[in-house]
Order: sequence, then C-alpha cells, then structure tokens
Amino acid sequence: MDKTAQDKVRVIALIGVSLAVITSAVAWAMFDGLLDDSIVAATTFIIVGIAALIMIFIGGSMVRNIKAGLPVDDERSQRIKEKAASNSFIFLIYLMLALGLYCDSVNSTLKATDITGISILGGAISFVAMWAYFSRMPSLD
Amino acid sequence: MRTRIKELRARYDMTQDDLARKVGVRRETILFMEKGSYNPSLKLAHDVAVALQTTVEELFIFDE
Repeated sequence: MDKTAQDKVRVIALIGVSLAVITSAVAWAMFDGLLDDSIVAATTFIIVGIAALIMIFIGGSMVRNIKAGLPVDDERSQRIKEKAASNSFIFLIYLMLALGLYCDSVNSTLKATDITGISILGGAISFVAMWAYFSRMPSLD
Repeated sequence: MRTRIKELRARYDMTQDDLARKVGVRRETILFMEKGSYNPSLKLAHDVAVALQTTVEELFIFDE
C-alpha cells in the first residue's frame, strides 16, 4: 500500500473513531440519566460539540494535505504529537493522583470511575492544548 | 540558525508546496525550516538540499 493510500485509510479510521467516541459519550450521558440535569446536559453537549469541531478541523486539514499530494504526517508533526502526548500523560497521572488524594482526605462522594473519567477527560484536553502550543512554538528543541 | 531555502526556492521558482511535495513533508515544515525555527533530521536536510540543487553546508548557516 503506497503512502497516499495509507494516509486515506488513516483519515477514514480517524473519522470513524472520533464518531464512535462522540456517539459513546452522548449514549453514556443519555443512559446514565445525566441528561435529566440541564446543566450536565448542556456541559455534555458543549464538550461533544467541541470534540466534533476539533475532529472536523483535523480531518479537514488531513484531507486538504492528501488532495495537495502532501503527506498527512511528517517528522515535525510526529515530534509535536510525541511531545504533546508525553506532557499530557504526565498531567493525567498527576491529575489522577491529586483526585485520589482529595477523595481520601475529604471523604468525597466521587467514585473510582468518576476519577478515571475526569482524569481521562483532563488528559484529552491537555493533549489538545499541548498540541496547539507545540504547533505554534518556533522551536521544538 | 539561518537557511537559504527561501532564496533558492525563489531562484528555481518553487513554492513551499512544491518543495514540500518534492521532499515528502508538510508545507508547515518547510515554513518553519525557512524561518530557521525547526531543526530537521539529517535525511530531511539532505533531501531539501538535493531538491534545491545545493549542499547541506550551503543551505544551513549556523551563527557561531
């Protein structure tokens, strides 16, 4: 399979995974009864909307590159992703630790699944923020 | 670090897209290389030099 065909498969896979994540998030919110609360419902749909916009932006950029005969990924974009992923992973670990300590000390009603979910969401947000930051950085060194 | 990428691109009437397509990278990578803000790998530096019909030493200028 040549590079262009591989890139097309990646774009399709990215769109498929993004749609699956968004659908799962909405279904989880609906079936968990969270949407009965208007504030939670609004927050859920805002987050899903932002995720959808990000997916459209990234997917559109990838499609434009493929149409222009340019690669979807190159050494610079891969370095940006690696730096963003490694930094956001560390942030995720610290967030989980902080939430766990908070629950133990304050006797919070947060469950283990809530801590995991909040940490994953925080990690995802920090990844997007780090990716945007490193994309604009003049130097990656 | 400074580069002569923009100067040599203009000499051969090449756009950033043309050069990016020739060496197999994204246009943004060429843009940041021209600004001297991105340190490419040795292979990429060599590929760009070959595409611009010059050498790596002529293309990248390091300020001592």
